[in-house]
Amino acid sequence: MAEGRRVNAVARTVLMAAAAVALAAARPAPGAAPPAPTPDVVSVTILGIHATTQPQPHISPALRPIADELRRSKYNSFDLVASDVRTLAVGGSMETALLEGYSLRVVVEKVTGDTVQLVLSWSRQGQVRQQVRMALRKGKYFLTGGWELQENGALLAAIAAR
Amino acid sequence: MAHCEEIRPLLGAYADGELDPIESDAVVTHLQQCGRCRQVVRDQQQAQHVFDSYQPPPVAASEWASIGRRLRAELEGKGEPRVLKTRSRSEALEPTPVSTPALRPDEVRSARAAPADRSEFRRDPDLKRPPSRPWAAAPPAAAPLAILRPKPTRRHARNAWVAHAFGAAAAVFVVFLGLASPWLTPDDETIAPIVLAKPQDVIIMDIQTMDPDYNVVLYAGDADDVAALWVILNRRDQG
Repeated sequence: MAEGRRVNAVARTVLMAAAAVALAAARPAPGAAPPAPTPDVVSVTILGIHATTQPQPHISPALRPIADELRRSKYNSFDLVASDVRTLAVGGSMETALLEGYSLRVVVEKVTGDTVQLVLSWSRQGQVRQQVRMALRKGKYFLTGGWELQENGALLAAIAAR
Repeated sequence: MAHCEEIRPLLGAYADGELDPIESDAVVTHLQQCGRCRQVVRDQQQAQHVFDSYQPPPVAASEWASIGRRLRAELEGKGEPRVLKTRSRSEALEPTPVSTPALRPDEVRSARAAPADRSEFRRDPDLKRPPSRPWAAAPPAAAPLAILRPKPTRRHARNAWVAHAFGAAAAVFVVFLGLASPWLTPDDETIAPIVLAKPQDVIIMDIQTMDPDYNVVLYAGDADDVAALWVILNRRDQG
């Protein structure tokens, strides 16, 4: 009987733990793809990258898939300094502050099939430095930037819409 | 009615009060009709009672000093090795009643035919029998069910709170991990896998550069390469 009670207690513990795990799993898992947006709404991601030259090269884990491409530049170390994900409708915009007063603004102009038309605007301390209108296939990251920073290195960004 | 072979393994736990209500009911029903198993339970309970009621013989205060001296002498190796003169606990107990010998077949038949001897049972008014039990015979209507309810032991109840506390703590910990994971996981892991755009994935429609210190480089390599738009500091203009 004592064995039976012990089994019951263990079963109760396992059930409570399973319920807790189910509760925890009910929230969206980190890294999971966001829910499929409606046709005129896209999820836009801006990643800010600080490229530097270091005695000990390193790279942020999230940037490892594009490490080869990043290392084509004159820098050997890459830190993810910002990541911003917003859901935008056509005509919507988002702006992400980066380093040394730089910011990147993205406007969604059009969504057509698997392509999103965007306007990227690089600014520094409120002054627009560069503006690019482009069509980008959904889910693909576009590399841009290269602004040299006073402290060290350069500022890059990767933009995607899905 | 359950057979003795099925009930016999439960008798020890029944005598100790460790059976759950359903098993206990099954044993009680069997005991009402089986004198041999009833005798086994009675023997076990009597032995338990004797053990519980055993009190060690008192030692006079004056004897403690003498016992202490002898012990010290033995520990220091000065005394004679002594033979333990006290009797073992089982020898000091009152002799337990001899169990009933195994019943002969005719005795078994007569025991089954005769009404159960319930004289040693006390009535339990709280007992409620479920409506149907495949193993339990219906009790006689005239004779309310009597049950020998052994003294409950609290050994398991004392330990149950530890299991409950451990389970509750584990559940709270897992819930905490689940709810706090957005703060515990690095931001890097919230980013979907990065797949760079190739030249065929990008159409540049318009570029406006307002910073004269920079030149724009539109990089679109081979078909397998990626598309990128870089700015390069114009060193010559700066100098």
